[in-house]
Amino acid sequence: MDDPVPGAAQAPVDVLASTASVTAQSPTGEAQRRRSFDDFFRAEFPRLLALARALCGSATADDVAQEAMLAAYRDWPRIEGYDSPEAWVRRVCIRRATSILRTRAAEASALLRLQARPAQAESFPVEPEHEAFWAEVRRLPKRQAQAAALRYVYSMSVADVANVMSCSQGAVKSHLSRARATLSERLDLDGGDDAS
Amino acid sequence: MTLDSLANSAATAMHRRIEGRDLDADLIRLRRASHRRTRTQIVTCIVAVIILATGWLALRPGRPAAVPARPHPTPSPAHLHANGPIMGFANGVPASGPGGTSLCRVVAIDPLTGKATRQAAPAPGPCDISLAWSPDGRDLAELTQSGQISVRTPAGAPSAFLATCVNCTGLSWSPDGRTLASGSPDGILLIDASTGTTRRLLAGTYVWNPSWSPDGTRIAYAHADAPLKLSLDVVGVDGRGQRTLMPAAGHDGLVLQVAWSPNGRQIAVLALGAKKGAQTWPVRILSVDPRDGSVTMLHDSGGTCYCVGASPSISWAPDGRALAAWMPIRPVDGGWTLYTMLPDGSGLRAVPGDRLMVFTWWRAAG
Repeated sequence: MDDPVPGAAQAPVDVLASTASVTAQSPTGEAQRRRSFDDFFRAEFPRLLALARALCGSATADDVAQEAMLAAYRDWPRIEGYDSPEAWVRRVCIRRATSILRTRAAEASALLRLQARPAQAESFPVEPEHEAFWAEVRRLPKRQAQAAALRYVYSMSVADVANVMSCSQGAVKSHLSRARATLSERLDLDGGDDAS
Repeated sequence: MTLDSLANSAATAMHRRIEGRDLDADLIRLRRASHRRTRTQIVTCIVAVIILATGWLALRPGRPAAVPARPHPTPSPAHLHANGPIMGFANGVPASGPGGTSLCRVVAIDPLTGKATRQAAPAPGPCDISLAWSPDGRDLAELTQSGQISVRTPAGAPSAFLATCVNCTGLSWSPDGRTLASGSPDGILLIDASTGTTRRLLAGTYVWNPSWSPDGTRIAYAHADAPLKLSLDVVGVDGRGQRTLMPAAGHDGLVLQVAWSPNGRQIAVLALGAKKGAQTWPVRILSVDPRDGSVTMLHDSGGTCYCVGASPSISWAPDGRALAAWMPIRPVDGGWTLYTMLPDGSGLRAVPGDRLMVFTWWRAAG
């Protein structure tokens, strides 16, 4: 009779053990991922909401910001591994906020939402000149509006804005320069090139 | 105020307005939205799988596509009327014949009601072997048993003698109406319909019942290779390109009548099936594809043809959407009747009425 192959009898046990190990670890991994996303959400969502408001107004900003966060949430194990998940979710947000079709859909959704439940209370008063400023930002060409919103809402450097917008720093400087000139003219303000 | 100071104060104000938000509520709403989207995707996938599976089941190879059931087709009355009457010989009317001689008359038969209308004055003597209407429906070509080929109008104008062809069978007009073809023991006789001049194709070949193709380039005919062995052959009108479409061995019987469909895609063949050791000949109607010679059985009488004094015949409706056949009744009891059917052999219908006919052909309406 042939000798049994060394290790053959152990193989099923090893498979079972590894399976049990994975099964036991899965809830923990899921919980960790969940906590990780919750922290990310709490840190990023308010600023993301501000960015969305700057780009598409308060009526649809909630849905646009939530859509961007939803995209991150549903693919979080992958997004989490990025160097900067924040840059990724901001990129998604500015694209959705400046997409006309998506904005229209978000507006319709916002109307339904507002009819269904009250919006979250916000006690801080709205200054007319601030609203006028963001309204003029939204009137800018799409890329200029994106660059200006990132620059002012996040106080980002040109390099960070370029990273989010997936373009060169030179292009960002050009967008910002034109945006500033247009805003200064329309708001009758002193401008100046601060693109640095 | 500068642009920068306004921008900074506007951004600060916006952040302050958002500061008081309940982020936990936003997070819960996000998770609910994610669950809704997951459900939507699952439902979409299930629907897509159902649609694909249904399509695959319906179209998978080796299984015919599901088609709605339809009643067994029959040539519709409107369709039959649109094609005009079916013409035939009626003979055996001794009371009308002088001296007891049988008379032969041409009748037009309503394909729906079977009502027969006499078309020409009866003439003494046996019926002609064959008749053929010209493509424009004005002239009638006749082949008598004595081999006289002539053309006349059905209104009773005198016949114009064209040629003599002893032991000939069948008459077929060329599509341009200028030439007649008849089968003879010495090939195909082509007769100029206006001058009567003749020429022969396939001299030395025994040809029965030729039929011109609708494009006028070929002629199909029954070719007797040997006694009781008749194949279906075609040849170009220039005498070249002869080939056998359906060998005698391929259908084990006799090709009697050949009729090329008006659309050129079918050759209807009326054949007698041979049964070994018995002198019985069931009538079969076959459809032969002129491109590759593939044969489809349209009808099999399944009985005996007492082909003495009467010969089965077949012809196409002018629009090509029906066939008329004069053949034994099924089950065979010695009687014969006129049938109509669709080109695929379905919708077989007996035209009402009893008659003694020896040939049929279909004439265009009007």
